[in-house]
Amino acid sequence: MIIQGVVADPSGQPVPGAVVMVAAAPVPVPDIAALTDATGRFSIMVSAPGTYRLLIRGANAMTETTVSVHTEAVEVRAELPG
Amino acid sequence: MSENTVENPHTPVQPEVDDTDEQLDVEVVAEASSGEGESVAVIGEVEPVIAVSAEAAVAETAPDTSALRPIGEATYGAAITTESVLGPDTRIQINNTADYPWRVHCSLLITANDGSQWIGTGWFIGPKTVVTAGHCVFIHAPGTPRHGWVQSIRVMPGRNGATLPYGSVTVPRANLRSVTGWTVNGPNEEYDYGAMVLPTPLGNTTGWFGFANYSDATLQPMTVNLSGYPGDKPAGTQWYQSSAIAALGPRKVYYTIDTFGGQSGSAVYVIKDGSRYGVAVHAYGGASSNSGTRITKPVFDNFQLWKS
Repeated sequence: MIIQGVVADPSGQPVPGAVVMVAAAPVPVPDIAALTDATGRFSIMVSAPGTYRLLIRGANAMTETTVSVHTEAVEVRAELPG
Repeated sequence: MSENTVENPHTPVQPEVDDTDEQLDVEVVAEASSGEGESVAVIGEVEPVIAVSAEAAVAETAPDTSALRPIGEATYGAAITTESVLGPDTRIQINNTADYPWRVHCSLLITANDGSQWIGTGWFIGPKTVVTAGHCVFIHAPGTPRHGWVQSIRVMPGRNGATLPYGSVTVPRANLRSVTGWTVNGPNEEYDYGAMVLPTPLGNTTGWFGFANYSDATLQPMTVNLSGYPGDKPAGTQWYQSSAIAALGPRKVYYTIDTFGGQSGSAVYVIKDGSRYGVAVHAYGGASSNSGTRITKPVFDNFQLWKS
């Protein structure tokens, strides 16, 4: 199962190099964190269905989102505050 | 290219072990080295930085994300049961990362097979050998270009934000190590450990930690320490905490030290007679405790092999 998506700033521009990590999950999760690519995209493999809380950190801002994973791939759009 | 063929240079160097190989009653220890330059002396079971933890906890509280907007196309579902930060966040930022023992810890920038990038942590166990989690060197993503040994890992000892007191070294795929229990037969968190062999003996300068295979009776009453590079803190900053051992498994150590994404691969270490010894490799965040891969006798033997 994959949680994938894009991180953008308030103007809608993609944010490369943002740190995306799982802050809470239904099962123990590896403590590794993804970095968004040049287009602001990321994808994280998860091993079990359920509710995941993602924490996203940019250079000067942080946000979080909660994702319900019950299909093979879930798409997320996260916006870092300005 | 398959990772399973004998011709592959990444073939694990240690076959999966069975229970009879663990030898938990046999204690073995490899010694530490403080390297060159400044070193922080230690008495007792925790780093002296703990003495300022109350002040530091006020100055460096966990980010309050409660007022931030929920975002994206998220669907809000069932209760969440796993948290990597357990209760109040009392992690302490390390500023003198160029000193021993802090310079032993390395910030890792990992480039996976598909070009995606990840952050983790590693620690020196010898002049050229940095230990980390198995999932930092070999990513399980079956059916995707990401699956397999990562392309390379940039190792930054003692990193402090943008400052790299010992520079950085990029470790190519051929210099990565893990075991079949993680790579071929995994993912199995009981075998989630690996290593990088650096092209230069940078560890002679930074120093390294010893490591030990302790019995349950020896390990259970000890305090464990962990320092690493969590992704929820400013980029490339090092954070430390200690705790009691919450539980021991045959191949796992559980503790209540707060961790976050980016700290995979950190040393879970004890301080004994003024020296530091890794007893586990941090790897997972859990509901009531976080956990690492225990340094059992087979893990100890592989560390010795990878040091040689």
